[in-house]
Amino acid sequence: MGESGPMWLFMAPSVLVIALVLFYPFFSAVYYSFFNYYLGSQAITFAGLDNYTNLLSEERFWITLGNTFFIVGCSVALQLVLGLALALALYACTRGVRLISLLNFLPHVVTPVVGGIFLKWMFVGRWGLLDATLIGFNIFPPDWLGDPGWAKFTVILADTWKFMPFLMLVLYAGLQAFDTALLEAARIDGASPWQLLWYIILPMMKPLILFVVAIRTMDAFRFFDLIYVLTNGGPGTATETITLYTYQIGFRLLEVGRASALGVLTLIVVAMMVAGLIWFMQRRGREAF
Amino acid sequence: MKPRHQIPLLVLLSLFTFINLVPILWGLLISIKQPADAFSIPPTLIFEPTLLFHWEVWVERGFFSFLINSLIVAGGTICISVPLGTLAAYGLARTKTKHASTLLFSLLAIRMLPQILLAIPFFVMARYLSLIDTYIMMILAMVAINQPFTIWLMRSFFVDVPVELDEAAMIDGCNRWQAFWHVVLPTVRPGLAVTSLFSMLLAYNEFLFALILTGSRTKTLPVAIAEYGGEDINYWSISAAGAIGIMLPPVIFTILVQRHLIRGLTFGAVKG
Amino acid sequence: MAKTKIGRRAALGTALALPALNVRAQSEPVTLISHRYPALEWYADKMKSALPGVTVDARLMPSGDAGQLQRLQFSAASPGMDILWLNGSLMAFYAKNGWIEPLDDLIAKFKDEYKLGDINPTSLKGLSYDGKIYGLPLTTNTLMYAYREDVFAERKLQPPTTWEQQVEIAKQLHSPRRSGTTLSLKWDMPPYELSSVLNTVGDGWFDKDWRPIFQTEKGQKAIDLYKRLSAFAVPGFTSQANDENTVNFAQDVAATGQQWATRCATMDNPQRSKVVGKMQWAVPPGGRQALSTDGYAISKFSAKNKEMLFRILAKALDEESQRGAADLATPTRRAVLNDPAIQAKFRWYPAVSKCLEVGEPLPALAEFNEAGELACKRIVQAIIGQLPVKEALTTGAAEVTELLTRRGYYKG
Repeated sequence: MGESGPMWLFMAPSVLVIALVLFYPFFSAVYYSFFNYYLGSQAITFAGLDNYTNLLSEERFWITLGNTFFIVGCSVALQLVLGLALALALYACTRGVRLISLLNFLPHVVTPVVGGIFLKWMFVGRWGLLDATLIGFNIFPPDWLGDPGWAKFTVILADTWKFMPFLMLVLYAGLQAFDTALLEAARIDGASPWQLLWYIILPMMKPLILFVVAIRTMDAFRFFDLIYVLTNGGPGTATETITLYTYQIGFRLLEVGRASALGVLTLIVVAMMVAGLIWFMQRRGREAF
Repeated sequence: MKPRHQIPLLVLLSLFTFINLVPILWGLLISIKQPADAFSIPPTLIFEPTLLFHWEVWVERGFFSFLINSLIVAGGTICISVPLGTLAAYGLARTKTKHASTLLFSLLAIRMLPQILLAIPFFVMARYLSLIDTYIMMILAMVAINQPFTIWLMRSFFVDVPVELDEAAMIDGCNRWQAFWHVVLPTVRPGLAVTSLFSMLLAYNEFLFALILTGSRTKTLPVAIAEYGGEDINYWSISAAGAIGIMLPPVIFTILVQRHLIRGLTFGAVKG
Repeated sequence: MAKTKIGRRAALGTALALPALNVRAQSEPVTLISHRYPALEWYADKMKSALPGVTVDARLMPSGDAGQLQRLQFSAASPGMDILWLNGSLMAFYAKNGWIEPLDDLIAKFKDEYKLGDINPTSLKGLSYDGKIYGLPLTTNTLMYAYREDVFAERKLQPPTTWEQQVEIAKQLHSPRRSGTTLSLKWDMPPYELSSVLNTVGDGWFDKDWRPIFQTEKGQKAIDLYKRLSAFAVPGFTSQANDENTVNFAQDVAATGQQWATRCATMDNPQRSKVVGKMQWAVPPGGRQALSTDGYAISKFSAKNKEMLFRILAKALDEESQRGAADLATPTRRAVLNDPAIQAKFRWYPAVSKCLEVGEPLPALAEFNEAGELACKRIVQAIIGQLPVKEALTTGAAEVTELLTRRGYYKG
């Protein structure tokens, strides 16, 4: 490839900055995962793969992994459907688009730390807005944060509230970049709105959809702030995701070695998922990658 | 779409928007109520509003200087992250070798590691370089952490631009750089707008790294607000007031950027 | 103004290289990393004006973040933190690792100057590890049994003396609108919440060799009792801590429950509470409830003069300062605590004094934060019925044993 030369030059500055800043932190996290490194003692001893084998034989690891898959799967699916619907609705709308998109974007602007508190004020038992309103009508609602099933539901809703606007905006921007002539032509040929969506709009948006789904899957796997404030993984381990477990091991039990191993395992799981996603999308239809 | 569909569509959208905004509106109400009213059952909408907590946050608690810090960090991050990411994204989108997707994928790997694991080594590194409590460390950290995201987002916009456009420009006598700068870049302006917006939000809202890397001189707003996170319900009103105030700069930025998202701006180059 | 001065000095320090660096280190502000509640804000302010010419940079934040930042500073042996807030459990952990300075010599040296002999010995003991004092106590906080005096009078009830009675009372007072009790079982709260019931109905947390005993038959009875009690609790108790608890009382949705002494003042503040004058406090059923001593310590890695740091702490905690903070936290100086004027001014003080007599600090195990969290995760699963009580407790005990074995216990 004769032209790959200058192309690498385009990438060099970015790669350089990433390498300079992240090389040490990233590899030391990976490095620690092979050691018995407990913050409470000065001695760091080599552990080989012990941290990994211990985690893999632990029931809690599999429970949190299962929780994570469930929560991530549900919330990303919900966000994609809602975000896409909203983006298309905005695209179809002729008036007030700017205001509506701006207002719907606000939840994403909220600082995560604070977003958790906002949502807590909605869902907290009895004097949360939801409960307080329902009680005003003499309805005594379920325990949103304390019942294992409802807690999962609340957490999924919370993540959706926070990140749906991200999908909405990216997909809407994608729609903007469309060649409208193609849509017009199809419409003149008598295609129904559903046909337009299914055969023209969605295929054209595939790279973007793939992008947002991949990014959201990765981020939802690290989903932390909101759960931390809302349920902190409780009740019991009902909403404990793998990141919360990492936090618990690393920052509460102070076992940095084991936490790092868990982080690397997470990385491997997510990498496999994203690779699978890319492969799946590539297999059908034109090359997105 | 036909005009008769417009009104139900607008009604549905407005309803959804309202539900979506309830948590924020409720936060706003809490910030102007005394705690005894804020959490009453059933919720009260009639109360004596107070701006006491907003005054306390911005004037007495010195949040204004934290706002400046936040803006410096967010601004610095955009100015470095978006240009670097755009260049790299263009490079990746126009390279057909296998190495490109390998590179792309390993960039993603960095994003997959839970950030809390990077916190300890980051702190150690910053300490060693005596860069704790400086803007430069915080900005560099934000740039590096957000690069994968920036590159990926921009790349998906470049992929949508036909390669023929570059080729046509180069046949007309441009070199690679000129083709990129004068021909391709203008077509991805919505992409640039969206990318800047998200880079800004990521840097502006970052909490964990800000907690670790900043100090009294460079403390950012999320850290300042989180400091009032609990242990006394009066702090909740302060959190609420801070939380509402902290939203203003990104909202203004969103409004500014929105102009570039308007349809019709794009793909003039392709058709023309 | 102050900022530009520091900036100029810093620039000068760099220019003059090594000799000047020492000067710079001395003139840099003293850094405090602390939890935040009103009493701690008060004392942080006092530190800022404690010594002329010494600026204190106080970073106050929720305890979780503060602890995380402290551990990060310690593990990097960083001089970026000079003084810190801590409680008994944190103190034991930091002291065991040799991260904080023992203060005995400094206390002896400045005893007269700052009248340190006046400090309550119970509080000093609360911040002692292995026979040495590691922190200057600012308050000893106690859980109390809080109840609605008006509701109790109406039903002719007395505060319970056993936990079994408390279950009965909660059941009697329970209605959909106002729950019988409020519980705080969010992540780090259960060890405090459960201490009284485990100490009086169960056998306690650990035996003298630090083997867990919370899972014994009696312990199972205690947890089963709490499980029954939780049927009458405000919903969401697994995600509720002190703040939510306070609002539960303030908004009239709970009739009884355990509450920290530092929260009493809020109950009588009309801007924050709808039950002004209606709350009363007593010793929790059977006593032996959790006490927690908060104080300030000095980091081993601080590059500052340790005597200077100690003087800041001692000055901030002097009698006048504690008098000013008496409505925010129970003072540790006997001259303030036993002052009749103060006892009369704050109506909950008599109950606080009684609670302090019968309470117990959490076990002085350096790893209690970690062990307690493991154990309580299981205990909470038992309380909400996710696991049978016996199974949950034995699993929890096994996990705690495994953790402490890894930390080097039970070798002998």
